[in-house]
Amino acid sequence: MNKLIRIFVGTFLIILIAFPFYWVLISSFKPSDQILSPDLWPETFTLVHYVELLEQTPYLTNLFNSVFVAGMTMVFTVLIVIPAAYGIFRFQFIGRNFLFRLILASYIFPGVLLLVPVYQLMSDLGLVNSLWSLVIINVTFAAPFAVWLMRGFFDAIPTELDEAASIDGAGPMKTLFLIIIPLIKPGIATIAIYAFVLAWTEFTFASILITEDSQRVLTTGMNAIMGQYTVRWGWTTAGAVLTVIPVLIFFAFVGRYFVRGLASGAVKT
Amino acid sequence: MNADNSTVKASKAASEPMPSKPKWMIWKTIFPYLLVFPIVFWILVTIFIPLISVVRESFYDTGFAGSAGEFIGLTNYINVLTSSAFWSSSGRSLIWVLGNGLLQTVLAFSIALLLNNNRKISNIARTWMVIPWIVPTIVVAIFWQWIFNGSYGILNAILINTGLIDSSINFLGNPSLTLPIIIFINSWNWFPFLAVVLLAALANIPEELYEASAVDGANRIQTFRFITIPSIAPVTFAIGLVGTLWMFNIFDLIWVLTEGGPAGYSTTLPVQIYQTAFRQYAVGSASAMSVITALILVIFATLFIKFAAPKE
Repeated sequence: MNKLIRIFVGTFLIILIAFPFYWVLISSFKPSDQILSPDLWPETFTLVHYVELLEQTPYLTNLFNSVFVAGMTMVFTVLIVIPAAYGIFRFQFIGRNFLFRLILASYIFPGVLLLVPVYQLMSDLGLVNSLWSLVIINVTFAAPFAVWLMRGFFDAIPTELDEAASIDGAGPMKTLFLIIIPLIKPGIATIAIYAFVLAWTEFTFASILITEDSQRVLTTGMNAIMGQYTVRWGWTTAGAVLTVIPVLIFFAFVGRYFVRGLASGAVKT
Repeated sequence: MNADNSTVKASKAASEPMPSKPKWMIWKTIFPYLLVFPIVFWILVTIFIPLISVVRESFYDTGFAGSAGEFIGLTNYINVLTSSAFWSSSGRSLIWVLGNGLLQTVLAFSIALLLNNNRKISNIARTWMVIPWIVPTIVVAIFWQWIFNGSYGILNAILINTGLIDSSINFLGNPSLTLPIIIFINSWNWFPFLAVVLLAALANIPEELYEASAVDGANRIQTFRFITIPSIAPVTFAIGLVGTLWMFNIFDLIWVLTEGGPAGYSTTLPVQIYQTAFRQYAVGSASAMSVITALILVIFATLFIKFAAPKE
């Protein structure tokens, strides 16, 4: 009986999670005259939607813009989060707790409240319609949570190692590079993928800060492709598949670390 | 080899005292600040300085973002607080937060209890169940818009074929269905995160506690009530606070699916702020709304911490 319930709930959850992926993938291979009929398996397969999407829409431009924004967000997040986490989790200094709370407070902050002033800030800096404006704001939203995630990884390294290094005459920077960084590689992978995914999926700021077609990223570009052509489901489903694939590939490589990192960060609240 | 090395270094450190101690002390004092400076600077410039400008704009009749308005005192606040649209949006935000919290808790708890064991399949599933959370919002919207489509969505086809309904339902275009359906879609997007956190908390409960309660003859419900729930209380408290604020702030999914429609029936506060600022071009009014919203959230967080914090 108990086992039956487990199987039933398990099957339900698997269908709930997997079916939308399956359905969009299958639909994207159906020719235009079949795509609107609800067959679970297509009568004929076609790649025409993918070809048209790449040839007739700015999909590829949007893709390159997204890769740039997500890549840069990843680099800058890692560059500012590692020193910050090292400082907060390895040193005692006045204002340490306050800073940690300040950083945490900012990651629960309503993004929409910041839309107007951030638009003004970017317009003052001349960065409206520049991909850098998205990099800047994505780092803002990725970095605080990333600091929180690093906590579990830093706590896992015994402080005796740092002390041993300093007795051996290593300065704090040398300790960071020779002792800490090699040991927190999974943590770095975790925050890197988190920053990448956050930037890859960000929509709200991209819809306000970027208005030129040539600078659009995938999320807002897909929205435009959907809206512009009174929902061409062939293009829309093909675009959805192509947008998800990079995330899945990334996840296949570092997903384990990512979930472990989330978990170890989560129980250390 | 190793031992040799360390003795050499140790003796070296002993024979040479720390050079110029005060300088070294100063360096040690400022060093942590240098480490945290970049992130603090970044956050100050992109969050806290803009925040100040929101407060300022809320006292001006600014129209377009970027244009200059005139000082009008509290007029924006009075207009917002006396508009029925603001209060309906607040009500919908409340439904949104409660609905998401409930549904995600149910889904996340089911999956967490199912996977909280050491079977190989559970280990793999624990990683891959996260997938809905990392899918871009726009794709989540496409997935479910395609399934829920009012004319040729598969859900309508299934419901009609099984004889449950006679004609297609326009799920997202129906005033009474639109918000619950977006809540469902958003929960699909977010429950994996909650599940990861719950699984981590469950895995952290010492096995001895369960053994002890078994020795005491506790049944499964008692074990769940008196061992599991109290053990994960600190984590659920933290995630309850952060998650509520995160859910409250969701904007993009609703915007992509319905833009707050039909006729405002899915307009939560963040959607209304966006519409006011970027569709009605009333930045002053939107800023006042933002300030009021931020205050509501601060009050909520304070009360939550005061009354829901687990007893030590």
